[in-house]
Amino acid sequence: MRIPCPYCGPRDSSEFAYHGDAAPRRPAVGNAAAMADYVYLRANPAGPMEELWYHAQGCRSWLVVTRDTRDHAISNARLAATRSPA
Amino acid sequence: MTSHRLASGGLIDRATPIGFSFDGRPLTGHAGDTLASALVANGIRLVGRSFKYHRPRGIVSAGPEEPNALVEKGRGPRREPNTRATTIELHPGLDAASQNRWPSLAFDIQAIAQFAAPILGAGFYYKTFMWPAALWERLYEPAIRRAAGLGRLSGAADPDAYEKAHAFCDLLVIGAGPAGLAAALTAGRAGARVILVDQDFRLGGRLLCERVEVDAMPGPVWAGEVEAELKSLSNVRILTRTSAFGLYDGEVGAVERLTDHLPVTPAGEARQRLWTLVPKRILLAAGAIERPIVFGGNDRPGVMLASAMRTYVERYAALPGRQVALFTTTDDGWQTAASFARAGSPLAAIIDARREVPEAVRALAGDVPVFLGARVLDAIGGQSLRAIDIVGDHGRRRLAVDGLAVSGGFNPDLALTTHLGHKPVWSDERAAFIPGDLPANVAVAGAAAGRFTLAAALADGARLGAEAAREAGHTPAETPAFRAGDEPCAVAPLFHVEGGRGKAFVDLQNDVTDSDVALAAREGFVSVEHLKRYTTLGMATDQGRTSSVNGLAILAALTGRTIPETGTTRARPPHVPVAIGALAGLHRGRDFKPTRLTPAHGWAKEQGAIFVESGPWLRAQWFPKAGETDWLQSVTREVEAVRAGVGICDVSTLGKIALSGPDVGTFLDRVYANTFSTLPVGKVRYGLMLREDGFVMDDGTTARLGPDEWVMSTTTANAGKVMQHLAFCHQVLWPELDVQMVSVTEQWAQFAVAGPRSRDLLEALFGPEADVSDAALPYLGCTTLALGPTRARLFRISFSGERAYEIAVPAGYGDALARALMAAGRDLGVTPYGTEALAVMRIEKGHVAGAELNGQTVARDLGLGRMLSKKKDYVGRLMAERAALNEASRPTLVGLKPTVAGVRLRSGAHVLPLGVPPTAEHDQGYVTSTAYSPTLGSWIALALVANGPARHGEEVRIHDPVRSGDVVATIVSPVFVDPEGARLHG
Amino acid sequence: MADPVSDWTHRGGFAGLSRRIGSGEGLKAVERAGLAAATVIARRGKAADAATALGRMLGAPVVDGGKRTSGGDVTVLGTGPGTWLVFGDRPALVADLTAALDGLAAVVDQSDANAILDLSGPRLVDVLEKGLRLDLHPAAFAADDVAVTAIAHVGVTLWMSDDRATVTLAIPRSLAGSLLHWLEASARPVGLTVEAD
Repeated sequence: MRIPCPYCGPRDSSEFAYHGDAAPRRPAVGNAAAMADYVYLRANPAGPMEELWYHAQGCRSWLVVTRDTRDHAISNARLAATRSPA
Repeated sequence: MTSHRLASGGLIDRATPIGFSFDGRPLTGHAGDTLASALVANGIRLVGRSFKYHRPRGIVSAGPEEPNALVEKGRGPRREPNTRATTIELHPGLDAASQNRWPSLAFDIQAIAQFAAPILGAGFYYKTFMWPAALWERLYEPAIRRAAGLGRLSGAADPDAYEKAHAFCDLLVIGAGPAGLAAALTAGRAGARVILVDQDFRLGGRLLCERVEVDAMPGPVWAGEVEAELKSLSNVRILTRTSAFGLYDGEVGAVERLTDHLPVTPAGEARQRLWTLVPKRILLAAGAIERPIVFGGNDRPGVMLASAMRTYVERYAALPGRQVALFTTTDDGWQTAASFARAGSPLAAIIDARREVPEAVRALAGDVPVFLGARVLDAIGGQSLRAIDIVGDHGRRRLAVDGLAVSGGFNPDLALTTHLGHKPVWSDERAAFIPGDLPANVAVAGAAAGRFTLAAALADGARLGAEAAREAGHTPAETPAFRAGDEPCAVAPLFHVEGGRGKAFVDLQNDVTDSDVALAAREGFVSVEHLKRYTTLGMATDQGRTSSVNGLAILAALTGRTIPETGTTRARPPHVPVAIGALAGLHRGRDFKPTRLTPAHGWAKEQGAIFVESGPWLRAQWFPKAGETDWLQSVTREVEAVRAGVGICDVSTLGKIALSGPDVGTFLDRVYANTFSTLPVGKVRYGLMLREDGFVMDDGTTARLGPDEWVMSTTTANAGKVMQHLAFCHQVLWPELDVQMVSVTEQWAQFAVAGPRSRDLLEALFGPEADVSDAALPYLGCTTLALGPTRARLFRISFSGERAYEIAVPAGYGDALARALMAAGRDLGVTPYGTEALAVMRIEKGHVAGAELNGQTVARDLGLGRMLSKKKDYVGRLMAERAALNEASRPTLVGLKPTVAGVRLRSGAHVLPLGVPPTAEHDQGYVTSTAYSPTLGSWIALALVANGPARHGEEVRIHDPVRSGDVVATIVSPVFVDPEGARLHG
Repeated sequence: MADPVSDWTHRGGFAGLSRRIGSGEGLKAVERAGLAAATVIARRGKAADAATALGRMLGAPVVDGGKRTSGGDVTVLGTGPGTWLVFGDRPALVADLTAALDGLAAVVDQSDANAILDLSGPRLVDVLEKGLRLDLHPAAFAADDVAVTAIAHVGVTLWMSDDRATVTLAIPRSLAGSLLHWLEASARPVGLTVEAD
């Protein structure tokens, strides 16, 4: 699988580390219940899903990659740092 | 001339005879032969015994679909089992042997199994060897393994080298038959980057095996001209002897056999190359595989696919039989009659299941007796076919033959298109599965698409090649129109002839018969996936190329369904067997992963160090001296030397991360559990990093060398993980923070200098101008000093509990630093020490390390609970505050000391109260780290024990069932040495 | 006590690893040692300004992207968003960069972090494709492109000369031996010369 890194271009997936669902955002203030959801609760959609990948053997950027979990088609990849705040 | 070699014709090199052996018998073939064609030319029929019944078997096909002719190739460590004689390129010295027979191929004792066939049907093993279970390992499995199975592994390490490679193209063409050649040529001429792969050693596919013409040239000549043109194009790459084995997301896996066809592997050459091909478009032009017909005795040596018979005659000038009949239900089968007639050995009879055959097809028979509306009921013979019984409108009769060509239709080779989950569809018109839903960038051409004529294949190739070129931004001059015949190719499907007396095999490689399929259907295994697994039909290494469609057609008939209603099983990669060595490539043994060496590695080697893997690094474990006979002696000496004088230890492997920017303090406060924003310049602080779930991730120190110059250290094992985590925290969680960070692990060589004389050594090293006094550099201070031609970083930190420093220099001076430290400390008796002594001293001091930072411990468990700041938010804070993680009953860090001196403690042993049985319900924790403490003269341990800190002084049982250890020890403070910390300050 | 050591020899990552493998002249690998190097990371929101400042220093425009810019004795390689790896044949490189980028970027000395090999020879591309998962075809990789990637699990920063005849690999110095293991195995059939500093 090749992942289109917005900085490096398409790269072999072996250069990346997978983190998981990009949807949960860290709660800003100390709310234990919200934090527990953030740490443990994940959806498992069949279809396009935003995921966090780290380009460990490339530009060292964290990416938000939109991947279809049914066929691995990647429709988008962008730098996580440029996401709007939660 | 060998017995069955034709006097002329074929694509073999008659000037180059090749000697080889089969079952130890010396034979001769020619360059251009396969092992199978050379065996055919030598009149050898019997080539192996079948998997389950040990029935005599012969060659069935002329390609990778071969289910029968599996041989062991080569000798010694290079012996490779289950290779297909039909794909082995003949080479001098080739040494092949038949499989699954004892004592010999012709006389195989276990062939008696076929007479037990009624009880060896589908599901036999599941039903028979169920009980008693105890007999499985001792009796059933060894016995079955001896009787069944195919070739033998060499049992030795693979002596060959393998490599991997990547290649990129606009168009990948799989298969170099007429469709593939036309596509590669059209796209290549237009300037597209083309890769053409074919499993054969010669391009042309069916053009080499049939008497056909393209552009008024004989097939092989046309193929040769196209090959020459393709080779002249720099944008086209041809990979022969290369099998595309899998379609993956956006990539195709292929294995190129570089040296398998050579008598001796040239030194330094890889045997096989594993290709990852990354194409923009893929054109599958892998052709079609002829389908056998299931009838009694259809596995007798001499029964062969009709197209394979033609291939042996036309390409290899080898005659598979002298009295050959044809059993067909296709127009194509009749071409075999023409081939044999041209070879001067006309067929004995043509049996066609159809009552009507087009006149043009009928003409191919010449004078051969023709039986229309007839079927072969039984093939008769033992180790070789002797006769066939046919039945039909002409009644029933027996024909004496020594060969039977069978043509039941064609199965397009679509396996690659199904690897990503797409399914082909059944076409009644073509009596075949043809491409249905395809992956977005895949097209199929020619026979693989169910378009079986030569003209259609060429047209498909040209059209799809041009399309791919256009898509890649190239303009084909003009789509070429290749001239070729549109030969008749009608098929009236016939899968199965019922009523024969002999066993009728559906899957030849796995010995699955029509009655096995019927049994499965009766027992309710009517889904094709269940049929496959219950009978093992299609599960052999041939992946059911010749058996799957017949199996499901028979199941469909038995269950009163159509073939589409019955469905197909899914093919999975690899499409052809791939050596594990090819998948490993360079990365085997010690080279499984790269090895990192510290800048002073060479120096440590000179010192006689024993090295140990530590994460990706090799580190000196201890430095044996002359006369020392075991590691403990060396390690004890090193510990004593440090505690009494001074020692040096290479700690370059610790992760080092440089941080800069206005928000570093804020950032560190959020990633560490304790506070760092208050750290003054010139100071070092120990820090604890948690995961967001509250468990400890890593520990280390961060030093502030200047107002905007911070350097964090991590453990060796977690360096990469921490860097990734910090990048996550910065880029994903808090991109608004103005922080810059980068790993500087490689930039610095770092040595620990530890022991009461360590300051004396530094004074000698840095010279009188440098101030390394306790006033200038107190405990947890840091500074930068000139050293030789460079500048060194000096940190006063300690892992051993002694007065200690870490000194860092640019890595290029790492080797020089080691030598300088030794020279400066010569008069002090400086001693290099390794990771073992380091570990002993940190256990003596109760410092936690990898064994305690094991992903299951929270700060409180490690006695570090007070480090958790209450004043700020940080990663892991909320989760670490969960009540269950703060219960006193959690296993918590303690020291252990055996009650009897000299008794050894072992890591992993469990801690139990005295006087209870050693069962899980009484388990109270476990030993994490152990060492022999020269300082205490006893083995000591760190352990995680429930309510540990409240139990100092209590005796517990240290139970080690794995290594038969059962010891009584006293729970003590984890700090065994210098609990007041007086030595730290000298 | 006087300085007990006079021999402060500086050693490159490939020190002592010169060798000749196979019989052909397919590939030549020459260590480039002694270069000063620094990682430059732009302060938050200052990537464009940092690029401009780097460009001023080189006399050639520098972009925030995976491109190589050479000017005088300095080569700037884009290795990540707002991040550059800068090589220079001058001892004062780090100081010069620090001065030029004051307030715009962090400058971190990496002069000893990398082992650098110049690869050239008639079989250069054939050998590289045995480790590189990248398309080096001119249509896909321009002569001034930079790639941060991996070969045989060894992280590499790769760039090439304007005429594409020399490909340079910068790798973590601790992995020099492992990279050579791959290079030897891959180039043995075509012949390899390694000239370490």
